[in-house]
Amino acid sequence: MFRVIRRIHRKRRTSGGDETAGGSEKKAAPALSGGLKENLELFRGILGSSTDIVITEFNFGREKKAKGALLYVDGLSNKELLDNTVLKPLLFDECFIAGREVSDLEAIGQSLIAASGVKKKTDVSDIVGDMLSGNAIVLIDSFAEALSVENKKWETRGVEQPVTENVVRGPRDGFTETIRTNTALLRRHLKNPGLRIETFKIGRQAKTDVVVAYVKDLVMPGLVDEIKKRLQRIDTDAVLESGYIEAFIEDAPYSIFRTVNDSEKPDCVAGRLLEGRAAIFVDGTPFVLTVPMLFLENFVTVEDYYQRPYYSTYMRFLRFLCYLLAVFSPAIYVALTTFHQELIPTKLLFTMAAGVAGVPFPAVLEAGIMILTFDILSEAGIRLPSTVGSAITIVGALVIGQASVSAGLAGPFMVIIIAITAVASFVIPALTASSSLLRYFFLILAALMGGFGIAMGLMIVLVHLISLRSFGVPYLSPFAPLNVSDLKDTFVRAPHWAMTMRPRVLGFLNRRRQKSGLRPSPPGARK
Amino acid sequence: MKPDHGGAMRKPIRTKTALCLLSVLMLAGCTGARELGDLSVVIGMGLDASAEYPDGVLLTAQIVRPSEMKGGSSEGSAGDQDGQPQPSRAYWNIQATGETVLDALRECTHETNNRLYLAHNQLIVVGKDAAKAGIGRHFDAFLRHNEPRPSTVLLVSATRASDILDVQPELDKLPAMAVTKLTKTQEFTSQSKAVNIIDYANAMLSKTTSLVIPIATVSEGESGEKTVSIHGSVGAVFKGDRMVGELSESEFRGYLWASGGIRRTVLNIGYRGGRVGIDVVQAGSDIEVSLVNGKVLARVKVKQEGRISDNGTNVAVATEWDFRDLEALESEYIRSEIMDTFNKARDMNTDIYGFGEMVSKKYPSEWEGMKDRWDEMFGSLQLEVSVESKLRSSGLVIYPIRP
Repeated sequence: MFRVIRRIHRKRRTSGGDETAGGSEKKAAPALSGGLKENLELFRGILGSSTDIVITEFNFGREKKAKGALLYVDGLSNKELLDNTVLKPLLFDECFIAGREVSDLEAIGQSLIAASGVKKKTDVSDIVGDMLSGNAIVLIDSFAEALSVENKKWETRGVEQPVTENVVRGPRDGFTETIRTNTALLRRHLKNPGLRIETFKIGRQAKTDVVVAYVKDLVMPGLVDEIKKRLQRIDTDAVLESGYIEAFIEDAPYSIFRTVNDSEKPDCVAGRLLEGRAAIFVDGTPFVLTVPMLFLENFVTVEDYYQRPYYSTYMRFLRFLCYLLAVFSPAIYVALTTFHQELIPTKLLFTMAAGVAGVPFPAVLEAGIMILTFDILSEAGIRLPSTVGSAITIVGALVIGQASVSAGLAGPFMVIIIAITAVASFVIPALTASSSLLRYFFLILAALMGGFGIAMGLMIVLVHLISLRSFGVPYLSPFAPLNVSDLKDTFVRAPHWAMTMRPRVLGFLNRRRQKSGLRPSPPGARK
Repeated sequence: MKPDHGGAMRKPIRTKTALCLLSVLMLAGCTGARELGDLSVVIGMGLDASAEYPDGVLLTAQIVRPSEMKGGSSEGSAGDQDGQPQPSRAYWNIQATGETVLDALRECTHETNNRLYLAHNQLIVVGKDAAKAGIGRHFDAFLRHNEPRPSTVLLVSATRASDILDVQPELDKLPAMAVTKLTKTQEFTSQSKAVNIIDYANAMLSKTTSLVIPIATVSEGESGEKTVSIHGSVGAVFKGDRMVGELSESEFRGYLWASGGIRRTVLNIGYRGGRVGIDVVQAGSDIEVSLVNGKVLARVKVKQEGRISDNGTNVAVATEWDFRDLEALESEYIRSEIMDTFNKARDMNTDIYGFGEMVSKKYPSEWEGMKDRWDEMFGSLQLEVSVESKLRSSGLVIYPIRP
């Protein structure tokens, strides 16, 4: 039977092989010529007659005989700055003589143009790319090169509190959609000369800036090379969000668990970089990826490090407990009431039996319907405009709560279980997606085989988790393989003076974080 | 260090094998699945002698009606003699006869719509006649079958088992739960002690020990309402699996003093023209057996601690010598209780204390020759009792508040 399946597999693979993304034949690469008019025609041909592409021709130099042109995209360029630093000095210049031997366009850029960040470019696609990124292009007659002036300014959302990560205590700045702002925010939180920012342009139809950031002396050796290798492998239309990058570089594309983490907060990313990780910024999205990722990171928030250790420890336990509740509650309920009624306390059994008296469905269907209803309501709640939001909350409470029970769709106990599950699943936002799916998986196993089914499912998931690696780092570190010294930041959060070493699997290049013996004490108590 | 690429897609053949194995497990299906609505939860059972089957049993099973459990009044209608289920009753007693207990259980399905579910059974009551005829063959099902729990409480009924299960309790909705709690509450007076299936099994496995099971009685009040109580004749003594005698309240307590089963109890000691009530808080016993001249000598050391909770005299009894006197009186009182019980046990020839087991453990080689003659050896057993009583406090008040 397998042979048949294998044959079909092979056929499918070879037939779909010739279609590659894009599939364009090689055209003759366009090049700049010495004539201004030809160059402008070239650019007009490439960019078309879009009205937001501004081409300004001007005369400058001695007797205003030299011809030049300025190209920029309206809306992406800082027009004021452009006028003042590029046009004005050129127009006011009296010395430049057209045709006079000036070896290099760069000389003009270095001495005449009053802007910093001027680069000489010859490659047409490069120039066009720069222009679409907001730079202004200066073309001068008789030069087959162009000057690209850094001049970006566009409307952007200001730095504000990130929507998905709320903190009670801690900085409230969040990344925005502009990659330069984001790297600047990171540098603000991490003033280290070793912080390296390397840019790549990824995408065929739309070249998106992707930046890899790391701290040179702290990052895991081999990590940055591997990231670069994986990024360079990407050959797609466009990278619209960091999720695209994540999908192309992750270690386990078929797993429901993420092996690449993300964050909207610069202090979070800075903390992770200090542990030996690397960050990937994508232009156009405030979500910055960090690799490698450990399963533990789902339960850790950056606020844990700003609050006191006892409270943070308690919160960590709570989050772990909530995850278990979110995934296992419906399954355990179904398993207990369908297969293991002897485990339920006697008095509770009577109450439960009374509750399901009018319900025509078996427990698993009851649970399935309620989970589905809840997921529908929560998804609708996200998409709704805020004006009708309150109506849906009322409907939701009534529908799920009262009406289901009165109508006989579910027992009151099931409603409580689903309520606990739902609320618990939002305690760990990172795992909400995977827990929604795992919930169904365990529910079905529980319905088929009771507690044994749950145990089996747990075994499957555990084996899968243990086998996962994220950029070479085992996913369940420091639990598997066990690393006792790193356990100080898992379920408990050791005080800052106790965390003297970086995590072993990530920061082994430079293990020592701080001096030991930093525990504070009042002056009288010190020796 | 080169980062590793883990993942399932490296060897597709392994995934397929895993999937095949998983689907085999799915073939197991939903066997053993029972919805909550399909359960007839049994919380109490009664075994009586059956007229139909001389060796069989008349089984009374008390099934819970979950819908009546929440809300509703907890007082049932009194005096409903013919057993018709009233709308406010939270239970239903179903009866069936059979040659064995399992047989009778399955017979019940002729009348109910669900199979009986025994995992939450709290109580097994045996009627006196059935107890006298021997309960061993009936109880095998409760040990062998997977559903009943070994912690089920055992009781003997002064009349028929079904009578106990029929009495609507004052404070509870289910008779079986009320009676189970009643049995366990006796530990406050320690004139009776709850016994469960594990104790039964231990006693039956031993060839010499006799089991004592509490007896519950149904008494009728003035206006005709019935209550279940453990009173008067409270202990049923078994030899093997047959009931051969009864113990009164003080005799049961005497047995418990010696075997260390006292939890809390009250001693009323006559002293200085009144009665002093002593609350025994802690009590324990140490038994040592020895063979002397081919006879068994058992030394029982009882230690107990109490406090004065009720001073019925008009003098303060809080001095050192008062305490010493009271302690001596207490010890004598306890000693006489123990001796009375021992004499009765010896008359009935039932080794309720487990001396036989202790001898067999201490003298294993001699035991071989003794075990068949244990009845006779128990008859000539000598008991030495020493009681050490301690009074710890006289409560919150020293002088009695009296005119």
